[in-house]
Amino acid sequence: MAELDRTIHEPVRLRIVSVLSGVDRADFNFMLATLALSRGNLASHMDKLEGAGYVEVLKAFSGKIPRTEYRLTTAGRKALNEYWAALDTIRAQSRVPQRSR
Amino acid sequence: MRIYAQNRTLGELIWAGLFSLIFLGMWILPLWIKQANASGNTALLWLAIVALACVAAGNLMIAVPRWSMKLMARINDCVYASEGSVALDPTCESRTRWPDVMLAIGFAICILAFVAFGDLIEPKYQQPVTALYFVPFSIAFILRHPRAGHLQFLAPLLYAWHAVLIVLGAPIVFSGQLSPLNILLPTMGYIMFTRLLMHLYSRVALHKLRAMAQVGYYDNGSEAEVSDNG
Repeated sequence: MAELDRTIHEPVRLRIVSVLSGVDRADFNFMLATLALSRGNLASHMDKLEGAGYVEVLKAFSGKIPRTEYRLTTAGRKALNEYWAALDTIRAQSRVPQRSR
Repeated sequence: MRIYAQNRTLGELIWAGLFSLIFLGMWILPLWIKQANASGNTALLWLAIVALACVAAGNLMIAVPRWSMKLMARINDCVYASEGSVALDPTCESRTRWPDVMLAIGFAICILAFVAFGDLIEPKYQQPVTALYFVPFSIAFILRHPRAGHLQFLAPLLYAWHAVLIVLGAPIVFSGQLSPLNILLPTMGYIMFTRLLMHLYSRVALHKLRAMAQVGYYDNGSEAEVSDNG
């Protein structure tokens, strides 16, 4: 059986990396509005993804307003691709051939 | 996700409105100057000259991609503040600037040449003549900044189609006092129509994106939950 990456396997984190995989970077407010998460929940999942090296956190200022942006790292992109490949493998292995009556 | 981000064009709709005002100013103010000069109305003459200088500065700001992009970014920051910011392509910011500058200078020269010598062209053929520079410059600009999405090509293509229809003799030409509309209406009409279409497209894409990103998920503020039927 193919191994699933537990960091990405968690539903919220899977959604986060899926959203980030479609763009170069997105800010905290965008992720918050798109995923409909609470601030604390999003921040905690982002910490875990950053800790795993899957997400890069970019802190900047837009005028005087601080802005936190997130970007999927090369390792994160690779992990997501491997996750989808592992799921495909599991699905292919669990497919039961249909018997003709 | 990309479809949504590429078509966030409400800011561009506002930008198109500003562009219409500048375009209108470029047409009407020289007429005022002529009238004021002929009637000896010095106050109106100076007012129109100052207004024309402001319009020319505005035109320059919109024609230089670096400045117009900054303006657009500021408008977008205000318009999409509640949705947050999203960037598609990091290479767009680090690429060489000189082709954009050359494009802007070329476009500005064409506009100024048309403003100076446009009266020599029969009103009927003014829009087709502008199409000769407007269409290639627009397409070149879109190709330089492909993050705006494929729908953006619609505006120059419609403008070119409009010019072809006029050359073929379609009755879509204004005359007399309304002749400036021959250019203003198709330019701004097609640009705003395209941006509106792109904006609507982005709303649909955002709706789908949120539906996809939130399917079966309920945030209770602590731990993630997934519904059984999700």
